[in-house]
Amino acid sequence: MSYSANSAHLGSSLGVVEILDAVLAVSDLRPATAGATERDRVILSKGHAAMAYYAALEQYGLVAPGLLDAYLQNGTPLWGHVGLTEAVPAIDATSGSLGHGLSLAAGFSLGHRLRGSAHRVFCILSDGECDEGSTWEAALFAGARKLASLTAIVDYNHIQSLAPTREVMDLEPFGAKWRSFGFETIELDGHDWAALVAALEQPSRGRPRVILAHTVKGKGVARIENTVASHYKPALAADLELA
Amino acid sequence: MRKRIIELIEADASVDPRIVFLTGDLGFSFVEPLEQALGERFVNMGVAEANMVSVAASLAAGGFRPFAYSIAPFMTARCLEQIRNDICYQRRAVRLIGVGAGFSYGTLGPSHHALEDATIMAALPDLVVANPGNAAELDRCYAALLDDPRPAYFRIARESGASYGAPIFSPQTAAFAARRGADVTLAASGGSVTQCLAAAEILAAQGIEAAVVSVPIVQPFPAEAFAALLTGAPVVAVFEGYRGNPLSVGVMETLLARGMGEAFVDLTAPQAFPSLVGDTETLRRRAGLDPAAIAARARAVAGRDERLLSGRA
Repeated sequence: MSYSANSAHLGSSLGVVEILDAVLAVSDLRPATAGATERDRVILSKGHAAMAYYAALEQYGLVAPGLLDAYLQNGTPLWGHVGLTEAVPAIDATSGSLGHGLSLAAGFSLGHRLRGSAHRVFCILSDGECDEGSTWEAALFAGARKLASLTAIVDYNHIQSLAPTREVMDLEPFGAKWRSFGFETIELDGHDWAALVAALEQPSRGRPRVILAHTVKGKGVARIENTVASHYKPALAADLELA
Repeated sequence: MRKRIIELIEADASVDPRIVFLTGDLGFSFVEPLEQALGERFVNMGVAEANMVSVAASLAAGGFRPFAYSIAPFMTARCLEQIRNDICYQRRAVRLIGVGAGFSYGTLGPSHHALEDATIMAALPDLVVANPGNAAELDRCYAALLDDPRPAYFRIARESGASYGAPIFSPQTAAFAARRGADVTLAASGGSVTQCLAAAEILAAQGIEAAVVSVPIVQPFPAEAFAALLTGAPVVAVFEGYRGNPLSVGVMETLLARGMGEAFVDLTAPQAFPSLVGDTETLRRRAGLDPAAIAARARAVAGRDERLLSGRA
């Protein structure tokens, strides 16, 4: 998709593949439920990983395959950052500007509680968007209200737009921050699908959960792994073989 | 009018379990009855407007009818991108309530004044901007937008406004004559309608008959309904906000589109933060938006200003 559409954010997409697949595997989001109000909700807050998101949805039959082939072509419904579209009712939220997703997820979670629904809400964040104050407004709210149906997964690749997170706005001690906001906190290898599924399926402990998923930006394409440039440069023909 | 909108929501909530009321930790002595009525559907979201707006958006997606309540600048400018992306872009029918239209909060200072809020909200796709001038207009706006699938911003003044009546209207027909008169038309919205009615009294004493046309829903502008109320007399638009506000833009566009050659004056507040303290009336007077200033400009545009006629203006 990145190659044919000459699309940026390849590294951001490659790093989050296992996370997206694990979330969809655990959720009840399937073609039969996609149009319903009463179901699990999945929000990709890091909307610049749209490519990986659309591809993951397609794996679960939630995006028509033809749509992926036409990615970013004029007149098609899938933008370079995620937006709601009738063509894909499984998409639960727009994203693209960082720091909105966790609040949107908290809203779904509050709605589940008010309706007495047992459904869950999954929200995938970037580490960079944890610089945004609004992310922490949402965390404070979710923690204080004990929104136990909410699980946030941070794609912790340690690289943001211009430089390593450690240099830009060090997030550490990251787990301690989330714990102090009232979250159950799990750290794991974000490319370990089985570990992700196990963490997502753990029984609720009565408060929101965050999974700090350590990942490698650009995973699977050695040329760009762990590079800032992978945020911007599209795929090359040679990468298609390697990946 | 703060009390009135809470009463409307409370009455609505008793028959509609989908209503959820979120407050940004504001509404002391007004919202308590609503908290009683709504129980867990009343949520104090803390001093975190951005989070409140996004939470409201997802509540709407989950089948609820959410209201979000704060002081006007905090309800609009503070969380503009959340309104833009999460409410408007996602088409979530959230009702945003901003209290303190224009100079309502007077001596509390420019941080609490709301002079650009309507303009900013009117710049967003699909967002309806209601700017009622008294309780009757608020009731009509609330009813007109009850089942509207679009999001809406209710710009609410602290003062109750003059007690003129308002007909039933839809968003498309939200313009009516609060007073009739052939010499000049004062077109206003919100609290400025009350100022214009007082200006019309001053003008009447001087032998000038001013019509006062109220536009309680300014975005989208009810152009046809407004045009139908024009008499050919000169028009003075009055809005407690800056230039480019949705009332003056709507009035100008309507006059231009219909080839109406009436003389036109746009009365708005100076686009500057006042440096000296003033109460609501003082700030209005300094801005030239009090009844005496409105009457003087109307008299001039109606060609009845003797100084103007004698070239000494």
